[in-house]
Amino acid sequence: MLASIGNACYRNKIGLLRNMQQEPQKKNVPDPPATPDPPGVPEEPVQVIRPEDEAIVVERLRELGYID
Amino acid sequence: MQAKPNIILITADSLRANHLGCYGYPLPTSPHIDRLACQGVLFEKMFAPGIPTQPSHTTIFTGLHPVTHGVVAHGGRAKLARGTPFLAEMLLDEGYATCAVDTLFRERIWFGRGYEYLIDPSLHHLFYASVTQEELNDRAFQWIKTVPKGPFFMFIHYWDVHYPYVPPERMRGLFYNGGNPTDRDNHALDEWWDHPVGAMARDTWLRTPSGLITDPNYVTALYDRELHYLDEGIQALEDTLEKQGMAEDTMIVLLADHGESMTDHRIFYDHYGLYDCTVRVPLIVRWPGGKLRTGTRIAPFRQLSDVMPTLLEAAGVAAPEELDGSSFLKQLTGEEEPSGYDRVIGLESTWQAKYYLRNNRYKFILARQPDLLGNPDRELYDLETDPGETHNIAADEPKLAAEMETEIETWLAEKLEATGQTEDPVRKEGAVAVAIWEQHRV
Repeated sequence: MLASIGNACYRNKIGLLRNMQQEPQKKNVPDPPATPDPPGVPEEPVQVIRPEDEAIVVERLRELGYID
Repeated sequence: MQAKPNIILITADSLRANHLGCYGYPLPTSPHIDRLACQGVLFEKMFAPGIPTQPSHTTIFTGLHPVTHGVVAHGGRAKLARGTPFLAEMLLDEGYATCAVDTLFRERIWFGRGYEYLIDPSLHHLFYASVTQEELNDRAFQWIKTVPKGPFFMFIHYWDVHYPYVPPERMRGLFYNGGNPTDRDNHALDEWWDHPVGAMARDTWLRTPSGLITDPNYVTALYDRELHYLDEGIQALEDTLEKQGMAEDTMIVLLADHGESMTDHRIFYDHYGLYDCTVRVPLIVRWPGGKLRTGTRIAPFRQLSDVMPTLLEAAGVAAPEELDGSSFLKQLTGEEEPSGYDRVIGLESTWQAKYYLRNNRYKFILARQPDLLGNPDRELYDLETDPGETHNIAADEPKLAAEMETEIETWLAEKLEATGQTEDPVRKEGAVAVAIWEQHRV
């Protein structure tokens, strides 16, 4: 949801920038980015298993009798 | 050609059969394993008579049903009797060099029986199931390259598709159809957090810098990526055998001890519950020098208790009398037509205390004590119309349910009498993980 709202805002912003570029009296308007993010695809999360996470796994499974 | 084959027995812990392409999965998770199946023989209805890891592996190595060998629970009190014939020990006695690349012997001592070489790369991890196929293969390949002349038996136990599912970074993007993996508004996994294994996942491997993974489709994709990674390892093993000139004389048996429930039956990414997603397992045999009827798919019911007598027969070793399993070797070669059992009876005594009876048409599940999910103590499914086992018809078909319950009880009574037992081992152990968990909650 947040991503799609963000993309909608982004598209509106691009449209606004283009309209502004059509007005010759306005200067110093930045160009739109050359390679915008693909719409609607959130980044995949990066899994990071720290030693303390692995220790939690071991502790919990030991509590359950899964491992000795 | 060697007089006796080398044998490599591979367990992919928690590998669900229908996530492999050769078992009908629509995503390309397993191209190398699929090719292995084409070059060998695949079993369509291989079932685990006991789950999860410890009961199932005890069955694989002894050819006995869990009711017979007594190890019905993972983490239970029962021990395998010292005199019980054990596959690796028997092959060692027949002149095989034996090696396990495995960790199970650290949990239960009998899993180390008969191995001259025990290699455990998981010692480099706090949690043994975090060991990767690359680490296992690295040690396995070193051993294969230096093994003394003569036949060998190697057991390799891969953990990649067992939780935690943390595939290599290079698998990113595979098998996920989009969406937001960390959507805070997605509550599809909330019920899982009430289970201790779910809480553990939430507090560790599902927690990321971008937020908690909440999309079950993404968790399933992580599982599939782990499977894809394992598939690469199987290919690497084949390549090594080829380079060593051993492929022709080596029988590879790839199987799983049990499957995995993704979210099926409200069981999240774990291996309990006696539904087909967990008790039906893959089994593939490839042996180029064994004149197998390649490409065959064997349809009748078989059980993991059949593995030990089959491997013994391949090695030319007489199987012990009184096994529950029977060899299917001649079916691999086409000397016999495919055949098997009319039904399979199995059990679990870890997160649930239950029996199942599965025939071609129906599955009946009988509880010895109430389960955590509030399921009824008798479940009956018509697999012809309901292969996902979602509609319990026990109340609609009371006569059939009663007949199948009697079939279980009669079979159990006969088994107990034959093995000199007086008490149902599942009643005796109960759901051991639940009991331990409840002690900790008090």
